[in-house]
Amino acid sequence: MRLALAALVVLVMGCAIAGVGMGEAPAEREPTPTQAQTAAAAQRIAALGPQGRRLFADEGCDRCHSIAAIDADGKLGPRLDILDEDAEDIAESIVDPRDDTADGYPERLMPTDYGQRMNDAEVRALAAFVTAASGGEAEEDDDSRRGRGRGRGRGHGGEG
Amino acid sequence: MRRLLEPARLDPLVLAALALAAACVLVAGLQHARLYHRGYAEVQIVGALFFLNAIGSTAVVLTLILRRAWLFVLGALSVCVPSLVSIAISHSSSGFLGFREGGYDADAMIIVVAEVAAVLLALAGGGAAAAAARARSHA
Repeated sequence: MRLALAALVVLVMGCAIAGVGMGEAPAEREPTPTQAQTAAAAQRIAALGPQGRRLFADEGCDRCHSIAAIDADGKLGPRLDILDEDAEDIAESIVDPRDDTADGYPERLMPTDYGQRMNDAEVRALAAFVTAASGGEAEEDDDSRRGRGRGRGRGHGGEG
Repeated sequence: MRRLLEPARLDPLVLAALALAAACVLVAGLQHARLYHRGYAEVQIVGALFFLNAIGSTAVVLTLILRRAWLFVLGALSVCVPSLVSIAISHSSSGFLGFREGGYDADAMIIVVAEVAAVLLALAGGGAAAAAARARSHA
């Protein structure tokens, strides 16, 4: 009896540990960018300056998100190099990730305090970096905005 | 040390509490294995800890099946308490080993509830078993 129970536990946990029937990360169902897209993203990132990329690593974004151009391979959140969003929408998603969660991903996983941890210029630099990685274009680079300080509206139309 | 490795004689009620604790450890281990394969494997160190939690949970449950009750209580606490502390730290602003989470979704809640229940049941069962052993030795 004990032996049968032990065998059952080993079998069930062995399958789970081996990944049998455990499903896959939602990010693995997403398409990956082509080599040409990745190379182009790397060029855009290089042209952007280091701040956004540094923030991406320092804030731990690479633990959960993938960007092939910088070998970020997180799978808990959506890929960021195939996004079709402008820098303003990305900045919004950084400071208010619950507002519009990507389908199939955990709704409460992403921390909501990036708006407190980073100032506006840093949020914009990070958004510009993600925009560059995804093939979009940042409306302005972070240096040109830096002097405006905090307190802008973060929703659509908050510029200016 | 010898007591840890000896088969323990347990009252039915104590055995029931420890069996429930083992079931909770198993649920938490399964959930760690599932999450490992659903994206946490890519998170440095944290992913490996999820994997080790699943293996450790299996080993701990096997100790109870093999009637090593004291080893089970020690193992359940050794697996579940650090896991609960790590979950709490990962939800703080400092994060756990650089990894931060924003909230407790259903997956996290299953682990938290299972591990808290495992800790309480293991402590209760272990305490009752210790009291019974003391009473037997005095008799």
